[in-house]
Amino acid sequence: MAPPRRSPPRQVVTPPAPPPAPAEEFGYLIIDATPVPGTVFVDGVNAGDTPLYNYRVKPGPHSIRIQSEGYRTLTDRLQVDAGNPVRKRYTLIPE
Amino acid sequence: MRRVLLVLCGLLACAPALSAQGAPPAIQNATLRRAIQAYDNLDFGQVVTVANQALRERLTSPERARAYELLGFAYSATSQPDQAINAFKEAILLDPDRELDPGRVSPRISGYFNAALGQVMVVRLLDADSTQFIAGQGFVPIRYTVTSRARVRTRAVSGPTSVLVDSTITVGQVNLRWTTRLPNGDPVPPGTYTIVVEATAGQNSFSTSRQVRVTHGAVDTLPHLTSLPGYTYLPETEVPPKSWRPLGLALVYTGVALAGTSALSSSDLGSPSLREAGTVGMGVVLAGFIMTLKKPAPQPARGNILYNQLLREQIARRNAEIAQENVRRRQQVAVSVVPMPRVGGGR
Repeated sequence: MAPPRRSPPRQVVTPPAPPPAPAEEFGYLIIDATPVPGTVFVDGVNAGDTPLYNYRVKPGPHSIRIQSEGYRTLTDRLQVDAGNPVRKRYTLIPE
Repeated sequence: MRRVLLVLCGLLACAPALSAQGAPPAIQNATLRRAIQAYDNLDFGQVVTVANQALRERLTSPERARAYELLGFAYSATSQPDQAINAFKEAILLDPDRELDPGRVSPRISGYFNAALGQVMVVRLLDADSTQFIAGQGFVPIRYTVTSRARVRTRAVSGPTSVLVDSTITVGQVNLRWTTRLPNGDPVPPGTYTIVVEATAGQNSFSTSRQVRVTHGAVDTLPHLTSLPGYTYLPETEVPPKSWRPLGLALVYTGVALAGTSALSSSDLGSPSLREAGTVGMGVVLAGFIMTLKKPAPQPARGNILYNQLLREQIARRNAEIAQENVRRRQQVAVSVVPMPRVGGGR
């Protein structure tokens, strides 16, 4: 007769504490256009017309496109750091 | 109390001072209009509340600049310099060419405004002069002011043409010379050019522009010369002065003949008639007199001929130079540059 199997001693395992959720950090864009207003697209998303104030984006590189009728479409790439607003004022060139 | 009154007087003077920058754009936002109303009533606490509320709404650039100005004045009136300067900074960033009339605004407000100017990076008061010159021999004066040290690039853009005018790290007033030439030396094509000045510091950049119209024209050519100033051609023949020589010779010959006749008549050689000799002598004298009255024939003036020849050679040499100069001028271009009215209400 086989000896009864002893169940292993029960260990109380405390699950590791989940890492603290990283504070949601954002950067901000302040974008204006001259001599006429334009529509701003941030990473392809319509963000509104200029002046664009404190538009919240994740830190990192972002693409900017500004369109205005009768003017050339303007594109730019910029780097946004957390908590550091990037201020840009662009000149639109007539077509 | 006296200081407060002074600030209030300054504030009351601000409305016309600001509108002096040109016709103020119509305010469409109702909240902003309420803020202006509160400002007119000198209710500065209400101005701060309502203007901040307006700034959270959708505003045009002129409206937003106006809201920040109201905040700047309200904060100035309530002795909050940091907030006043911050508000003026935002107003300047939106409308960099805005200036306060120091004669109508209190020194305290002007001080806050100037402090704000020193804390923002903008390019302001960009202008270009109207001018005309031969391509390659002149330039377009361009000037602007950069309020903080920045890398500033100035370009002239028209269609596919983009010419770098200047690139430098600078601050303060800048005076540039745009030669309106392409990199290969040719004059820029005619058209409407946007002079773009872009200042970059760190991740931030600020750009402003001014449009000018460039036209081309022909350079005036020089007329050919037919004479040299101060020099005239001289006659190449001249009439000699009237001479009494023929009459004198006639008298001499007649006298000699009469004397000979008289001598013969008193000798043994014969008796020639004095009467006939006298007749012949009269004839000779008459002929001599007629010859004296006759106009002398013109004769070549060698000095004048030589002078005229030198003059003609000089004029021909000068005309050859003019022809050469005109060939050069026909290849040149007269460039005219005229600033155009600002687009977008002076922004």
